Amino acid sequence: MYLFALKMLFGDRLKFITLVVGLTFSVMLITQQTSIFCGLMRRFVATIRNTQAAVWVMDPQMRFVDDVKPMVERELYRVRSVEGVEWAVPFFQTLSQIQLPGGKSETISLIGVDSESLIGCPRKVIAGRIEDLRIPDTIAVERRSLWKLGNPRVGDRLDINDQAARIVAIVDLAPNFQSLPYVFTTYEHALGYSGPLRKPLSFILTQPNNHYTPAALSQKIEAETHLSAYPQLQFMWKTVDYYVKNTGIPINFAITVGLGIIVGAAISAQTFYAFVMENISQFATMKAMGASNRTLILMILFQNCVVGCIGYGIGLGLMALCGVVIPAVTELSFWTPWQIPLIAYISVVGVSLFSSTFAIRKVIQAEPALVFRG
Amino acid sequence: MVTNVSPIQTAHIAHIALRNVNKSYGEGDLSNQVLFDVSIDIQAGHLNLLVGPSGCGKTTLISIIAGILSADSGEMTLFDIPLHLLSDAEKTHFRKYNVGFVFQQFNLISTLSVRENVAIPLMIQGIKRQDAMEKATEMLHEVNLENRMDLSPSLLSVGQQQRVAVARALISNPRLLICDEPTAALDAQNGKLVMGMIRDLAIHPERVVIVVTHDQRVLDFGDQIIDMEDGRITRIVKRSDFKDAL
Repeated sequence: MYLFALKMLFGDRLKFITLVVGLTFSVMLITQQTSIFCGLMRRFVATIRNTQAAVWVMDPQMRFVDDVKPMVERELYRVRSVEGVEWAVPFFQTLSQIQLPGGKSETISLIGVDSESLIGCPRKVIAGRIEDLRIPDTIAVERRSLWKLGNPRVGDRLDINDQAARIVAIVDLAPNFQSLPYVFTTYEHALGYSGPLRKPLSFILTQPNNHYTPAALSQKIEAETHLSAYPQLQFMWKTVDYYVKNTGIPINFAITVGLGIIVGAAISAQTFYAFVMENISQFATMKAMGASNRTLILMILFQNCVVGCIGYGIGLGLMALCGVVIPAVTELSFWTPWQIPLIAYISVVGVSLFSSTFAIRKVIQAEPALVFRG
Repeated sequence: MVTNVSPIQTAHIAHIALRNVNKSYGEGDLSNQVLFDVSIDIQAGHLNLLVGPSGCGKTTLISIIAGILSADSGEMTLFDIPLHLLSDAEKTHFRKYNVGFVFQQFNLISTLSVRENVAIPLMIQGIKRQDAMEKATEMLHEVNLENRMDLSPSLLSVGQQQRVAVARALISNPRLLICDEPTAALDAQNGKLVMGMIRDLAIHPERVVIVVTHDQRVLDFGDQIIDMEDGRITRIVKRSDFKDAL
């Protein structure tokens, strides 16, 4: 009977295509928009992801990674003195201006890392030597933003706040939300570029020894220093949480996703209902022949399941295509964790069940005696 | 309640007995009674024609006999099974194994092939697709449509479509065959062809065949004419009495 159900479904090509297109549109909208949302969230935490420190220590007033509340340098020594700290290094982050040849300037995200260990620098070096950052007046720039800096090469000189900055390395790393070029240098050089500051320390990056987990060390640092400390993942979530609760970004995306679900549900429910109504005499005929309501309901659910799977597959495929093409040609962020296809799948199941409900109700109500009414 | 009477195999006498069957549509002031104390015995092995003017209750009566409509009161026994005592689910189960239908508008599914349409009753019974299709091929051979079995029914003439419907109705070897105006949509030649087919293929000592018809041209095919008027059976005419009665 399921094969017959399929043939009935495929037989009405216009409705079949309308159903598939409705669900494809719905799935694509849900997955594409949530992928862009997740991509944006990932950019918000780009600095944390790029740095790869186990525990981040910061001023307790800090709400998210870009909300830097500088600390005095002695906090670094207090953290180093906490039992369980394998090492602790300074991390400096600020916005600055870089002067380009021709008189133009560009806002950059200036990062200063520990000069001895270079912890906090990207690991993926495209050109040059990251170790050369220890040489005075040197910087490393990121590959993606080279065009914003006039496509300089290793060895070229730029100026940061009228001070020479020679490029010694080009690195690859995840872009941030503002798409500002990341410029890396040592902590000391970064302070030199920014000018003297009473509170220069943005973060303290730490590593627990073998006796402590990042979470346990975070608690210990907070207890002993009254600073805030978070394991890397927790700090990411704290940042994401801030943007979710304090900006309209998630609402915007939620509205679009909601529209996708509503439009998909409306199209598929209306079309499937029309499909069943056009075939109601055939369902009534099968009822008269002894087909139970259960059999007919399973046929309808099977038809909807097939439409749902096809729409889901095509929608997911189109979303994947967007995921490849859009980031390649634009600055748009796009990231699809495995939960997104799952959410889309659950949505499609919900939409399909919703659209089946009306049709099933009609078939159950259909009297087999309908077959004698011409 | 045992309703799974197997298709024609047993030797006991099959028949239909209706006693004081009443049926109304609507409620209260809008109630419209269409059957009044209908009582009748119908024996197997004959072609019974149910005739009468439009609105006299023929369709309601065959719907009740087929178990797709419930009577308001009265008793009805089909092959020793008290149909009036069965639940809807039990009636559905009963129809699955015991009732075949031929409809005025054929009710074939255009998206399925001719052979698949014929196989539907067996598929509903849960018989394997391959077996059902083989049986459907045999049935189409019986109605001389084996060379059309892979076409869509919509590509057949109306006469051929009704022959497909006859094959579909008989494929499960039902004990009761209900035909609702099977010749209404056909010309005289095809009408006679289809009635001849029903007579040749459906009449069986243990099968009750009831044909509802307005078509005066096919009365000659009947063994018994059951005449209805205003919700009542007014007379039953045996074949031997046709000339006097008609």
